[in-house]
Amino acid sequence: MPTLRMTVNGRPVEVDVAPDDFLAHVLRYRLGLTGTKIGCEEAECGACTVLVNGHPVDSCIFPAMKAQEAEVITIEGLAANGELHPLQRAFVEWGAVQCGFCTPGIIMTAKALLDRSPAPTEEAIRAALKDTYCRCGCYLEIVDAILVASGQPPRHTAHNGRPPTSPKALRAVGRPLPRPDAVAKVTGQAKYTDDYSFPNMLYGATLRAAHPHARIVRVETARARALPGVHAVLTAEDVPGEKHHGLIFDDWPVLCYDKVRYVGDAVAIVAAETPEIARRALALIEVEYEPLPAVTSPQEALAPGAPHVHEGGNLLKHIKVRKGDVEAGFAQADVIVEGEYHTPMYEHAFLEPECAIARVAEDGKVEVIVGSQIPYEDRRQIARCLGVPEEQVRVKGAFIGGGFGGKEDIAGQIHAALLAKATGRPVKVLYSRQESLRVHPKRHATWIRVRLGATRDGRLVAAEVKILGDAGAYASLSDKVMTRAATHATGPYEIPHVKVDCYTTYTNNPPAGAFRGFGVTQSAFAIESTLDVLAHTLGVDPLELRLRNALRPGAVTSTGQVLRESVGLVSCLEQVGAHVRSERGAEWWRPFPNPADPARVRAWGLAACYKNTGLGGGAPDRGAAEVEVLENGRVVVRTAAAEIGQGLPAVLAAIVAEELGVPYDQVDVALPDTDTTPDGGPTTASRQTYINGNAARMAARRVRDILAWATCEALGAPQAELDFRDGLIAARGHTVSVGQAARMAREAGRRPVARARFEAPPTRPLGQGGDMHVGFSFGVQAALVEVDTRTGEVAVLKVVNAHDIGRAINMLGLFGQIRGGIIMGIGNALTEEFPVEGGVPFCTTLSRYKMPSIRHAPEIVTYLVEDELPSGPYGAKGVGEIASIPTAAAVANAVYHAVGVRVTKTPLDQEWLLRALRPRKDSPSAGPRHDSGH
Amino acid sequence: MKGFEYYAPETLDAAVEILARYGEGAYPVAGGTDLIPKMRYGHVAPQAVVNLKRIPGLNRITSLENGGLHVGALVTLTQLSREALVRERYPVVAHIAGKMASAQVRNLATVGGNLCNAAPSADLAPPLIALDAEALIVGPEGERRVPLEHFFTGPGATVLGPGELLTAVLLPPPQPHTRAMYIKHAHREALDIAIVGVAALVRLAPGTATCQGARIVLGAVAPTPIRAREAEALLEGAPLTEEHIAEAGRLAAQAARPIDDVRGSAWYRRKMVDVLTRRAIAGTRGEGGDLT
Ligand SMILES: Cc1cc2nc3c(=O)[nH]c(=O)nc-3n(C[C@H](O)[C@H](O)[C@H](O)COP(=O)(O)OP(=O)(O)OC[C@H]3O[C@@H](n4cnc5c(N)ncnc54)[C@H](O)[C@@H]3O)c2cc1C
Ligand code: FES
Ligand code: FES
Repeated sequence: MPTLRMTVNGRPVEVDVAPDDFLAHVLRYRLGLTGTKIGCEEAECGACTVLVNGHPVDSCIFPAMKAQEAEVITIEGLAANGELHPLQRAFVEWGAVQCGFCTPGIIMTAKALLDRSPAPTEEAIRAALKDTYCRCGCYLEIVDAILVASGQPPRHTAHNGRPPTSPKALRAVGRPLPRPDAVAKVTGQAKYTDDYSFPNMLYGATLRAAHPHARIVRVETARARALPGVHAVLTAEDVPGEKHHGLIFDDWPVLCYDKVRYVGDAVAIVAAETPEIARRALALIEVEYEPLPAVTSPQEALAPGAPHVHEGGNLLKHIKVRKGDVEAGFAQADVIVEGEYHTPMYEHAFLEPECAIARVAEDGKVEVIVGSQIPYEDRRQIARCLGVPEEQVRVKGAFIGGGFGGKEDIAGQIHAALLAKATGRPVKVLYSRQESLRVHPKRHATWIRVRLGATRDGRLVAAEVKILGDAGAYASLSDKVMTRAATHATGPYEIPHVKVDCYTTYTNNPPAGAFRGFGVTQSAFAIESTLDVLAHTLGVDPLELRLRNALRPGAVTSTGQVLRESVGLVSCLEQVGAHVRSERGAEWWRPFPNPADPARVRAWGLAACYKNTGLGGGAPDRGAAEVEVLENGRVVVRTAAAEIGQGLPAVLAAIVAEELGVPYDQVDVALPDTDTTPDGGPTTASRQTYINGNAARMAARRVRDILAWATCEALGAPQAELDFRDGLIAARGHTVSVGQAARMAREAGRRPVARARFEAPPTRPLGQGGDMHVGFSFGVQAALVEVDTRTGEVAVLKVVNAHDIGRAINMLGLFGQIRGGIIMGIGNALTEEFPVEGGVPFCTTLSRYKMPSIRHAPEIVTYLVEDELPSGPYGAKGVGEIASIPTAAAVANAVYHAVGVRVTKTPLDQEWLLRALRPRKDSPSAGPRHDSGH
Repeated sequence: MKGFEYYAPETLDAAVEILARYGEGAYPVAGGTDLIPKMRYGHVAPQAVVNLKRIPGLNRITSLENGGLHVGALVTLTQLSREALVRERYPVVAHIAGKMASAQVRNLATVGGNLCNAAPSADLAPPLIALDAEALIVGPEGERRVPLEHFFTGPGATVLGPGELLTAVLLPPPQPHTRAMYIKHAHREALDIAIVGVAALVRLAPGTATCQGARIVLGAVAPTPIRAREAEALLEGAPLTEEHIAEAGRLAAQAARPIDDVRGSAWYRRKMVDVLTRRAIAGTRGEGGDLT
């Protein structure tokens, strides 16, 4: 093997490399510089960017030999003598980091830019970062961070030159405090699963189904087993415990035995000395299939005589929402409008592909490192399939490079555990981007019919909605997702008569599961589009129509829940309304031309939405956290609650700092570990701030009581008189630090540590009325679009939004979720789609999945509504999903206002739009006319 | 991605010899931005990979005696976009080179790779053809020149025979009173493959708005980049009026032979040829036009 000599971060290195070794691999796996990330290995995402002789390159496709004699700089080489580089500091301070997986690549690309151009314009920044993706959508924060790092004022995210603070801010709560893990993420020190390795580690690989639907006749593994370097080849027979896993129904085979039901199904797994040998072994496994006709849509699935994907038929669930008497309601209506909408499958495209590492620890436990959204649930499922008690499995979290719902289901963690047990060696199962695209569940494709009745003065009287959702090959969370689609299908409005029927079916398409918005994204698109159709039919301002029917305190939702408080929708509508009216006047929806090019027509459109916080529907919803004060004064928060970029550690740290009166940066938040951190439950349903924020707050108060108990005597004051602030406990002119207090507590026989479990108030299942959810967040977004009437292209120029999130806990995280959600919503509206034909996905590479880039990030103006939910920590509700829900409808409504074309399916295809525009070619700016009706 | 022989010859002759020896099974690699992902996913399985990076001179841009430019095949898109000679003489080329793909890809991707890869959507082809560029080819039989217009023979196919390499692109001297513009249209700005690309080059009679010569070259709407000759003929000798420009757009759309694929239908592509041709021609007159 030739020797590669290069300088890496100023240090000369020598490694032997093969012609097919790539720089990213050499840096990560040979030199241990794991700050450089791998997101796609196809030069598409930019996560692997390093500087070679000062130029940013994608190290994933950069042959290592080409770095001969070169000077390479990675993210680890940026901070000098422990001082963060100005870019790193600015990324931390301006919240340009969420999951952090894109961060090293983006910072390196930005560094190359600043090296060439020390004070770049925003345009130059956007050009330089074009197609270096951040799926969390921190693009505006990134622009600002780069501006600030280059000594220029921020342009997008500042309020008086700083990230904004909530008017209700306390000491830590409500402030724009950097994430506790931000420094680790900007320096490349944060370890994601693939950044771990163990001596003697083997590499797993998975043989995927060759057909979307087929009977397995025979699996022959002898040749694969015989390949030198292969240590295990396992098939279904080798699964000692349960043969299936699943989050609600155990219908997903760990390894398929009788049938394969989609192209991502696993048939056999291999562990070998190198990933290359493992892949070659897969090619030696012979599987004989008897192909079966594939069920490729829910319509087909429900047709008489359709082949069954699972025994027991294709209908997975029929969900009904009933309120009042819908026929009587329509009888009262002066106007009835109808519409049919379609949303396709969408892909999460979290930048970090799935990875799991399993090993058998000295004590015989199976230890699995995995970036999962539900650590304890992983433990349950792994243990069941291994056939061991749960205590024999330990799931340890790592940093997670985005999830968005796509890391709730099992990926490779059970396989890794099986292989580790079979070989007695650590085994890493890392998916390539292509495998990730093929395997993990997507967002449900839906077909939605809406019928909406109103009186002449714009009061909604009846709504009938039919939803058909494609659950794909396995149930995953379809039951819950589609329930949410159904319960939210009539939007955040009070409608006396409602009938919703939602059917979700098995097909041979990729399974569908959780995805930010959890079904509501789809039904919001349908109802909010229909509402605009109604507004223009009635000739009322779409904003007015929403205001007239908006949920308010005292209103009854479609599931029969009486809302008591924390319903900030009206305020959201009013603030967004005031903004668009101030820009465009009373008839804010009227189209207007781009002044420089009248064939580009602009208009505003808006949509509203709501989203439950917490599981609800009668499911017990609880989480536990532990808070410990160490004698050095640092405070540790422990909970097995996954951080996927949404900002939970900042929330927990702020709450604990607030309660204990310690400086925020004195609080550390541990990664999940089922042996040492209590169960925080799933990262889903925008629940973590609410559930574990409460748990951490309760635990912090208990620790404070312990410290008060231990110090009151020394301070000579009753416990109630002690003042906790600035890391000190003070009374009557005396102080002790919390660290001293911790020691005093220990000395007095009590550990300064406390656990608390928060149990959400009980909820009721759908169909029983009452509180189905503990609370809802609300959102209103207005999008300004520009339609090029010659090409059909649509650009979103600006999104004005207001969200009622109860209470802002961490302002950077909160705004990050809102802006990131909106940018993802723009992707849903305009660019993204995961087409599947005949059960075979089109997006076999990341380059085929069009997610928004920095070019798509519009100007975003956000108003916060802090209408507190009494049971939330400081009144906080969830924000993780809400902001991505109404965007697509707002864009669609704006397009209608611009050119008079009603968009009925996402993403909005420019060609489709141009065709629709053709008949009106002569009057491209013919927007809606109230008097004409539509 | 195993099982191929790797060569890094230090001379052109050695490279040609290796390529000739392996024939079809050998692939030159330049930036690797196309080839490496393709190999990784098994779309191609070369017997031999011949890295051209060590061959001296291939990555240079030099001025020719006639005032033209010699652009080595291994010149990267970044180099092409920043090189003063290119920016001054052929801004249309520098401009698109600086906008293709991402900064990271542009630092690796080469002129030769973009052309030899022969994607119908390759962005360098239409503007280079519009400038009457020639391909300089070296092979077992020696050196030959082929007008770039005739370099492409189909999607992924070129006139390069076994053992042949593209060593440079030769640009004729820039013409006075000539401006060119290239516009691409993609579903998602830029990183996405162009669904239509149009290069327009217009030479005006001095001091007039009368067109003395024109090139209209279309990308991504036929198996290879093509010239819209009827549109060119119409413009030649004619004043650049709105009517003529519109007519040229219509003729260009007629010349296109697009297909339906997932990125866009033939109908849409043809429509876009019309729109972009008009925009590009008009652009050569206005602010947006790049001098050539
Ligand atoms: C993320 C991404 C975005 C992209 N965006 C764009 C875009 O916007 N517009 C666009 O036009 N293209 C785009 N591309 C394609 C890119 O421009 C080409 O990949 C690049 O120019 C190829 O150059 P290379 O040096 O990397 O070629 P290689 O990958 O090294 O080679 C490509 C092919 O050409 C052959 N070859 C290379 N050099 C020679 C030579 N001198 N003689 C003979 N044969 C040769 C190789 O054998 C191979 O078959 C994009 C690619 C990526 C990965
Ligand atoms: S570009 Fe290299 S990993 Fe995505
Ligand atoms: S922070 Fe950019 S991808 Fe998550």
